[in-house]
Amino acid sequence: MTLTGDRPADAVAIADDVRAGRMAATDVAHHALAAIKSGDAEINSFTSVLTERALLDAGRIDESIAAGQNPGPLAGVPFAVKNLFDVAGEVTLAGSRINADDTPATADAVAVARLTDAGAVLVGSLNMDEYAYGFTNENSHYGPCRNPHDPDRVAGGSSGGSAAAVAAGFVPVTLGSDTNGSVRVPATLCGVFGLKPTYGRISRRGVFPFCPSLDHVGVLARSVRDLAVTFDVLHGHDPDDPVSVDRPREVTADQLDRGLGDLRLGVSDGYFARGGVPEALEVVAVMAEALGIHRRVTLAEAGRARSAAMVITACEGSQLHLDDLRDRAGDFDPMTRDRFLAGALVPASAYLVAQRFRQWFRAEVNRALASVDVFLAPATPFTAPLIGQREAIVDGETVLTQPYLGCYTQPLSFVGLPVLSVPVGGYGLPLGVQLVAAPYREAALLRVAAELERRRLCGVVEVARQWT
Amino acid sequence: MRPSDTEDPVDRYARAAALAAGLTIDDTWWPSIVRHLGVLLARAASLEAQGDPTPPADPAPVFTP
Repeated sequence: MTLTGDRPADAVAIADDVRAGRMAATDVAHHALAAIKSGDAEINSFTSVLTERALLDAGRIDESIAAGQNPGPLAGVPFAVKNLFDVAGEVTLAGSRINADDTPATADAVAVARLTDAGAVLVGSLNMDEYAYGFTNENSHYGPCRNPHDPDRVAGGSSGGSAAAVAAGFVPVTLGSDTNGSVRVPATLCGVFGLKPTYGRISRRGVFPFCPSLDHVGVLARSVRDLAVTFDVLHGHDPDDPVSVDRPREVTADQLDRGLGDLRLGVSDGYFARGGVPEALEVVAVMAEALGIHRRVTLAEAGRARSAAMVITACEGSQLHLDDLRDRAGDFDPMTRDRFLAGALVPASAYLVAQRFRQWFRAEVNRALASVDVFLAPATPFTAPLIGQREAIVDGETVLTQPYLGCYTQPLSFVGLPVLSVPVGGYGLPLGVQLVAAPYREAALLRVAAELERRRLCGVVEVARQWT
Repeated sequence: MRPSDTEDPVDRYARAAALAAGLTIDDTWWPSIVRHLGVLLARAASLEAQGDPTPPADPAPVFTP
């Protein structure tokens, strides 16, 4: 959806226009629905489009504005959600065929409700890897989600639909979930911004779980200010989510103009300075040099942290699906099924050693973060692979494409750190850089990202083709 | 294939554990499952030697960032 100008508008611009009466929310919703109808047959980012609900909600926004009310900071902004978020009246598929037999959700997930309460208009649910177990969104039930920059390539996963829908310009903001990198990997491969806040900062109530001790709700958007405004609406304590943290809410959107100020910046080395194609590492070096960053940050044993994340993911994930693995294993996507079955057979001692390691690693990370406020790390080891591509060459070694895409994201989400992935163009296909901070320091991440965006060191990578 | 038909310890363990867990697994799925399980066990084993996680103050820590 372009609405005005030659580039799709971001959420803040749309909301400003709707609140000021320059544009009707109903017209914005029609525009988004038309763009999805025009382009998504090729991209396959949506699994359901909620035309009736969107137009009803948009009509209510217009009525409230006509009555002199302020419908909120996201007035009339169309958004969509990964199909593991509950949407009232819809079946929560979580990318599976098995869940299609479930009864429809009776209420919206908390995150969906918070966005709609702020004036946003839900237009549909989005494609994903089955049960969020993947980094490529090659879903055997609903088809692969295609990368708008090159439809022969994957969008990344597991929130592939969430990234592709923003990159294609169908909607300016989407929700995804991130367990091991499932917001940051697709955001990077599709050239949009992705924010995975601190573990427990956004309620997961009404979100179908994958691995409860690692699951986060995240946001994908066209601009840093969209991330900030959306995060401000979303975060806050939810007493009915057992892992929700009880901390004061903060407004990050009004901190974006503060610049870097006295923030101490660093750049990761060791594990994060190898293992990717040269361009994936170069984008970090270029950004660090432009910002004059000399401080190095070493996270000891990050490779083992990735290993522990894999063990915990397989064990917790498989336990959630044990009944279906016993009764109807053939209905899973084969890739998901085999990994869940393997996870179900892992001895408890392996799970516990991984959780103990996690405590040790968390202490190591907190020690490293004592001397720096935000550090940079690569986001993915390479650009978007082709659909069906099983292997890639990195440093002369053959790696398995799908699991390896998470090599830089997994060690960070493993200890619940807030991470913001910023997109970088100029390399043919999009690449990205992760900005990493200590727990609950999302505002610092957003400030750094805003400064990078202002200096054009990052920014949404525009797709050559527009669907309107 | 019965558990005794293979010499691979991961394969033998997997088949016995699957039986005990009540999981019915198609013969054609086993190679992939055993490969994934082998990777997970190797990764878990690589954690044993690291850091100072033992003896743990809390044997089953609840994670908070």
